[in-house]
Amino acid sequence: MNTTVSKAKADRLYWLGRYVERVFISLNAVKKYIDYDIDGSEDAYKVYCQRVCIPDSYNGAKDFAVKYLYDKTNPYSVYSMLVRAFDNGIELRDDITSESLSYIHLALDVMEKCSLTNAGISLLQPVCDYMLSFWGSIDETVVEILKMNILRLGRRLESLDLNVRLLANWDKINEILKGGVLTNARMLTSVTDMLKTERLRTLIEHRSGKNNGSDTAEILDCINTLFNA
Amino acid sequence: MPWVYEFSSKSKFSQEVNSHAFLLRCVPKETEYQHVIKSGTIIPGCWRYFDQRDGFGNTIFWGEIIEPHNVFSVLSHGIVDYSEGAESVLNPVFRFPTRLTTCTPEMLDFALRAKCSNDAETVANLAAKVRELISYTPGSTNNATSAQTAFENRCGVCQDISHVLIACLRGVGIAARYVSGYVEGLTLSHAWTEAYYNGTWHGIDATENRTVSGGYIKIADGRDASDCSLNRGVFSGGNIFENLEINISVKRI
Amino acid sequence: MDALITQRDSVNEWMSRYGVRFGIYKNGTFKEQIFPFDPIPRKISAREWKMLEKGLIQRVDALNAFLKDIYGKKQIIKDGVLPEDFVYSSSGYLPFCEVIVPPKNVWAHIAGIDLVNGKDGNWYILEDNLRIPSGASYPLIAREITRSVSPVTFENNTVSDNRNYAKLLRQMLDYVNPLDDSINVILTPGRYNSAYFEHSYFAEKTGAVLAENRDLRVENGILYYLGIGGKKQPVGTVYRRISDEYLDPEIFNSDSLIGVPNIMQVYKNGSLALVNAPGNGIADDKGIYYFVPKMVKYYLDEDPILQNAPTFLPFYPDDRKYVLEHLQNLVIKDVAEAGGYGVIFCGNLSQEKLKEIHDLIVKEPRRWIAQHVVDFKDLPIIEDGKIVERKADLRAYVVTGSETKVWKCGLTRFSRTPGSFIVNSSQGGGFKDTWVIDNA
Repeated sequence: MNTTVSKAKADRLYWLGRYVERVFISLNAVKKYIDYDIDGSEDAYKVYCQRVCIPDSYNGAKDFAVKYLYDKTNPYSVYSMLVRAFDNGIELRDDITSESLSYIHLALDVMEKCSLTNAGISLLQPVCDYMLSFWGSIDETVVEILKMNILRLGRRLESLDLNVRLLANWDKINEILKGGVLTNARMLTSVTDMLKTERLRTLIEHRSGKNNGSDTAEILDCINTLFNA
Repeated sequence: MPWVYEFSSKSKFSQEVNSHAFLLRCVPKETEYQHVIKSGTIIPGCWRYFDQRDGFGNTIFWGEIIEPHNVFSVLSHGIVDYSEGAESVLNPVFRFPTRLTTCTPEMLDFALRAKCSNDAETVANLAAKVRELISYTPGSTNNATSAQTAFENRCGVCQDISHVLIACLRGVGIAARYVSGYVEGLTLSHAWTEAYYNGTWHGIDATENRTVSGGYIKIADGRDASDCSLNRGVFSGGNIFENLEINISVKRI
Repeated sequence: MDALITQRDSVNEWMSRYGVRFGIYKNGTFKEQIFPFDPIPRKISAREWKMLEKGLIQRVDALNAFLKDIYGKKQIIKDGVLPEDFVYSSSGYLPFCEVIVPPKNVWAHIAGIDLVNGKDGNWYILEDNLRIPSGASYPLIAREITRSVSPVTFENNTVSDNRNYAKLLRQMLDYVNPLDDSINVILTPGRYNSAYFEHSYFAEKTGAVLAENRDLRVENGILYYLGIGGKKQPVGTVYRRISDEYLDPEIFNSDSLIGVPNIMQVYKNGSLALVNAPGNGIADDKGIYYFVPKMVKYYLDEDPILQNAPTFLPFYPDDRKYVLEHLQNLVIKDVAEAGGYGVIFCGNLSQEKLKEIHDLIVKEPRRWIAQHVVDFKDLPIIEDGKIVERKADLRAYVVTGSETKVWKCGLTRFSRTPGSFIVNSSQGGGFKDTWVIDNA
């Protein structure tokens, strides 16, 4: 019998994919900006906030290096992202298996421990490792192709979104688009807007090779609205 | 002597609703003394529904309308005739209190003071005493109001008067049940009480302070009002206001 | 076994890694906490287990026969074995279920029977749980973890394998499923239910789909799981972890936000199996408990293998007289309460309090049962690195599908307070694995 998945679960799978990827990319990306700040260019974190479009509610670079990572009450902190990933994952145990879910539990434990001492970002490396382990476990255990595709679509769209915001070069962005987003979106026609998918393809291909343009807002809009369970 | 009834209800929703599941009791019950000669029911917009009996033998219609809609209406009409009440076997469940018909010590005291030398007189006397005690006050209570609350506040509607009477009757050892139905001269549904003695059920309408006879069409009976609700519905859609119009007529042919 | 004790921290790490928790509401907010695990298992010999197994199957068979009878012919009342008062005044009795025959005529699919091992060596049944008995997931996952953390322990002990529980469940869910090409669903009230871990874990292990009410809808007499893109799958079995009164807002509590409208009608028409059957509350009522040994005799014509704790019913004048005269030696239980609430140990009470209890019993004799305190055996547990003795009970799981089977394990719950008889997790208790030792 062909299996299906409810709207609520489809939403959770999508957001689980996005948040796990968001934790991974954000941790890797923000390292660089925290590093710039060490050299005295006190404003690097401000650039980061601006690029990823989060409010700059921080009291200088040192405050950012702690609160962006660990402030549970700040909805934009990495801790909060991980909690969101967990909130989605906990309701998907039967879809993603206890095994895969355990990596998010483990990451949360590390996050909690590090937050008690406001540890430096390098001590959060296990969180990145667990996020990758999570994807490895998903590849090994989730058998239902529909669920796998939704998770992957979330992951790829998040990657696209952050790479666009963080000004990755357009060839890389184009690779992410072609490598995953298009394939996954085309296999999920009942929950994706095909017009938006095609529009996204056109916009990104057109931008490929160039690094400036005024249609970034439309690209981000397509990325963030093309999935709709 | 046959009686004809017509029932219509119309719910208007302030916004479209969907996945609307319903459960209706709107067709007269076939009993030892009430006989359904014929009846027909229409639920516009519902392409299939089920016609079954609930745990007390009342007729229920249940089904759903998935598509979005603004209005839900039900039309039923038919003819009912009566015979002499035959003996009937008592379902012992009607001897015991429910959450809505708990008999408190104060109520028991009240009921014992109204007790007469035989059950028939006790029922008539208690019905009159309950009606005296409870002032008929629409809006003072709701579906979930217990007999105890109505007794303490001394106000309520037909549902509450019936609940108090049921609680008191069961308290003094007379089995009793709740009845909902249609009554000649009333355009809304009504509730009354039945008490079991001398081997059969006897209807009494405490609200109107009279015994039940022709012109009272029983739709459902049960332990209390929660077993006999005429119209239950659950639907999806946010923040919706439901305006329910009911129109009932009962006439002698 | 020493190996297992030294590996205790490692076991707990794995438990945490798998999110083995239960939820609890404290001061109105939901918290998840670890269900404290004690590494010293309760051991039961194969010979003893054989007796328990026979007794449990017998008891559950009798309870299933009782449920079938009570919502049908009610022969047990007509034959004067059970006074009707205990049926009709019980909140567990649902008139809606009259005349319903559940698929394959199984009512108590999953029974959780609570027993204690008395100091006299006998096992006593404390209560039957036939509605939504929970807890089996804990020893199940504990075994999986302890086996991998301390393999040497299992090399040196011949412990019966307990990892077939999900298979038992799945076979039963499939067996009672009345529809071809349909799925099994575990219906959960959601993440903030105290047993959510178990709901999701069993869904994973049995292949049933974990669903909430918004994922389900009755259409044209069939229950469907609603998928994306308008796709629907018929549902044949619902292992529901929602109590009767919230299951169907059209029939029961109309304010229920976690039920599925008209699901009871689909069940009544035989197009759906509900696990466990609605209406089972009548059979695990504390007042009905007194009559279960009589049911064994009545329905099976056998002598009960397992005994109740010595119980008195104040409903009967002789028992009432005894109870009122010996209050200080008794435990009094309110038949309407569960989960360790409404249990009064009269031994420690002041004269005033005793008088209060006395009056309550006189006023509403039907509401109470009285039992002698079964002085049950203490089991060793580790507390702050030292071995201490605590009271413990055993919940055995009996699964009824095509036949009645007892899971060769069980949840051993212990009290963390010295001398206390209350072992419920909601009141701070912990748990142990239960080993049935196969003969070498």
